[in-house]
Amino acid sequence: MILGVLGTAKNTGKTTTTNALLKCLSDKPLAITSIGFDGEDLDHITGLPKPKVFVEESTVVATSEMAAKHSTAKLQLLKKLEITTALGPVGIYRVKQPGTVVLVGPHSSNGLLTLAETLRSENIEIFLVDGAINRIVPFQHADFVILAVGASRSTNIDFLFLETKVIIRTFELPLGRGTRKVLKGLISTEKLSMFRGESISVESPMHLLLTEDFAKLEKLLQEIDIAVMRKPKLLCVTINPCYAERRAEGFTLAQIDLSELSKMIERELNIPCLDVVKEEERLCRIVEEEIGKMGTLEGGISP
Amino acid sequence: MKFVLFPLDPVHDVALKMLNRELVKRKHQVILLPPDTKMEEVIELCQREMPDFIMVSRTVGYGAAELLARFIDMLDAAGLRDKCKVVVGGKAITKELAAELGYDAGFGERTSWEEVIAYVEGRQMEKEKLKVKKNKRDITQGYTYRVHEPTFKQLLDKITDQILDWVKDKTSPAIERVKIRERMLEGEDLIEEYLKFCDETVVSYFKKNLLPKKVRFITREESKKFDQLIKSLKLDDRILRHTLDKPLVFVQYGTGCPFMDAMHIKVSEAWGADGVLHFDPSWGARCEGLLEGLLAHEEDGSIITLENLKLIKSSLDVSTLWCVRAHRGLNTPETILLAARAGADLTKINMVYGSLNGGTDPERLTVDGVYALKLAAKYNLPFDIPTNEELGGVPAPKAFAGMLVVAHLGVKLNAKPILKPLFCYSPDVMINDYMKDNYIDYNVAKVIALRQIMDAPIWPGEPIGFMTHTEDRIQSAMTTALHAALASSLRLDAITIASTDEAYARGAITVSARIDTLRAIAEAFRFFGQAKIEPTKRAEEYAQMIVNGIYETLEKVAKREDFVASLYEGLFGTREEGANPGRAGRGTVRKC
Repeated sequence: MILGVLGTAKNTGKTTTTNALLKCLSDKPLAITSIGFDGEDLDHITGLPKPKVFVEESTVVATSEMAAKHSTAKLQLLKKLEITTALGPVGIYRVKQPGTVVLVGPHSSNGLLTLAETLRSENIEIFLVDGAINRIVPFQHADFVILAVGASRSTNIDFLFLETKVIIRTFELPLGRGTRKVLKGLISTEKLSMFRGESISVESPMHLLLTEDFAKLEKLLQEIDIAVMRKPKLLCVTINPCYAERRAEGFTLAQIDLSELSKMIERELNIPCLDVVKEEERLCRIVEEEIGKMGTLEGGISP
Repeated sequence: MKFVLFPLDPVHDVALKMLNRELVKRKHQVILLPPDTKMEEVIELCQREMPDFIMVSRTVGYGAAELLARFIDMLDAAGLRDKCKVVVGGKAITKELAAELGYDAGFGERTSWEEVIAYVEGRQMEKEKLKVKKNKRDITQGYTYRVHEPTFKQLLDKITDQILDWVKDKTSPAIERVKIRERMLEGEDLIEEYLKFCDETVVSYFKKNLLPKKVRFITREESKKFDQLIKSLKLDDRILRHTLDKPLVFVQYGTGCPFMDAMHIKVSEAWGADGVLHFDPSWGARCEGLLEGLLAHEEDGSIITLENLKLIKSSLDVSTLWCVRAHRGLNTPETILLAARAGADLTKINMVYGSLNGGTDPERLTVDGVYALKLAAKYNLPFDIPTNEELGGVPAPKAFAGMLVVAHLGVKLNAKPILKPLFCYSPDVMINDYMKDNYIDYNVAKVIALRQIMDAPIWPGEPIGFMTHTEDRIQSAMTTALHAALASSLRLDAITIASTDEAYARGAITVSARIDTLRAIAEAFRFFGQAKIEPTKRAEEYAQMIVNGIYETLEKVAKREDFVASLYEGLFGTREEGANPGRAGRGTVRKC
């Protein structure tokens, strides 16, 4: 089962959420990777400190060789893979001694699928995927996702709410294709608007979300009957009030109050919304409940 | 191969245009998109064209990372991500950021197009070819040391023959010590014999274990840490000279602490220095005999011992030229021996300057100097002859006359001299207003004059631009860089540069001040490149004046028929001009 953490921008709290999940799920056979780069000391753009990814013994880690060397956790190489990254090819490691880990994983949907396929043989129950920046498309193959939103994307609460609402709406689209017209690949809002009043099917919610104009997308979602061919289940939304504020001397860490946004999301969008730092236990409960519902997990990964 | 070049930026596309030029030259198929093309359009075009590479350029600004990530997501959604390689380039792009954004590769500032081409053509260039290879150079190579004018040759021959004749039956404690030291280095135990020629400071060190003031031993643990530190340092090599062949750039160190020296050396190497100069404390020059062991002390200059020199040597990059300066004191011959044993490439000998700035007694340094020249020849150490007496007030023509005598003497003894006139704002210049219009003419004149007389390498120092610097670091770096540009314009062989806080440092010289001048010089070399600084006609007039002055000085010295007396009597510079014959070692020369 693939559980992904996706964010709407850099520093929306993906890694903090991932770290909390690692703790919640530590008693299960677990694998972890990133679809970008995680666990570095400082942000590659703002230069501000980032949370480290901490892994327990026997967790399986997929990362590049170079990144593995920079991890404090003791890692044993299980398998080298064909998947490449800007920092070298990806390998599968098992944690021999707990510690922090730098994650550099596959950067595409297919790369992620290949990796998930490979992990089957390691009897992994949960494959945790930390997102990168605002990358969402690789999560089209996840079973579950958690959406991380935060002040880092925008300090305008109305905008954050609109964006979250549209994302959630796309995750609520029905599954199936039936007699619908099937549209493969990327769908821009421009293209989408040509199908007003029709019934169509697109590959995944992610294929719709690559727009900058969320207001327009929201309108189109109402005007067109859209289904998706695959989608992960959205478990909850996490919210990060901290962001890197640009000052003359560089970036500094700032914070805005997002409690109102959080309440709006829960009330109007009917989905749990929480601040991981304050509500780690609640996150664990949500995740455990969903995983419990899955019931038979012996099958391992179901991409 | 097929390429789509996409500036994901409202304006900047220079790098992609350069890449386009090179890719087309290599017969690749390239589609160069204009800036500000919509991402959706790019995706459609790529779906049609199916390129092997999509190369995106973007200056990272606010929100750019998200934009770049969205582009990858769009390629992924369109099913293109695994069908072509996607590369990002831009000023703030790093490999790490490329990995985070999900690109196959990332190229940032200071990437050459060669590097990018090598990557797309599947060649490994990054580590092998791009690593700057620095080679050690022989500064003296290609010079004949011929004295051009017969009149000058006659004078120099006469003076140097007279010197050789005069020293023939003379010896000094320094010469006796170096003879003993040579045997000790072969394993003989002659310390008692050695100490007979040493001062009390050295004797009590060996006999009573007493260290001179402010000197301490470096512990075994410290030297072990030193080794670890040097091994763990990973600095990339750099060359300052851009398209130029010359001059080589030297920095001088001598903090008293070998650790600090080593760090200054490593930083200087990393920022492109070609060589370093080791200078010893001035008190060491006034003491008969050298100490032994790994020693640090609290003042300027680093103590000359074989162990200290070997420690420094262990920290040097293989390509770094290393000059161990036999200061100008009572241990000149012995220093050359140790320098050679420690693996130095160059040394310094100058009897005239060494005698006239309140250093060593002229008679003593002449005897020692000749022996030192013989050692330099024996161990194949080219030596430089600085004319630092200029800083005391000696006019350049007189200082140069002395320099040429020592150079010609060196050539006669089979050693290889390097002429070292100063590029400076000397008292002579101030009094006579030689630099009223510019700082170029008089410095150029010095070089023209020397080249007119002898075919020898020229290395202005020590350091260039001396006495032109102020406490202002920008001014200091700028002035140094301009002097360096002048040196490159004159195709000189080497320069020595100060750090921006050297003349005014109220403590140890800082590493950042060193980098100031190294960076400034790199920029000056880049700015001028193969272009030149043009002096005015005055340079030729000054040059003629200097040549005449040298001739007059040499004529007087030749007529006096006694080089040593000439030094005492002010023929190479009077006391009024600031040339005070030194007293250290007076009366120690013996007949043998």
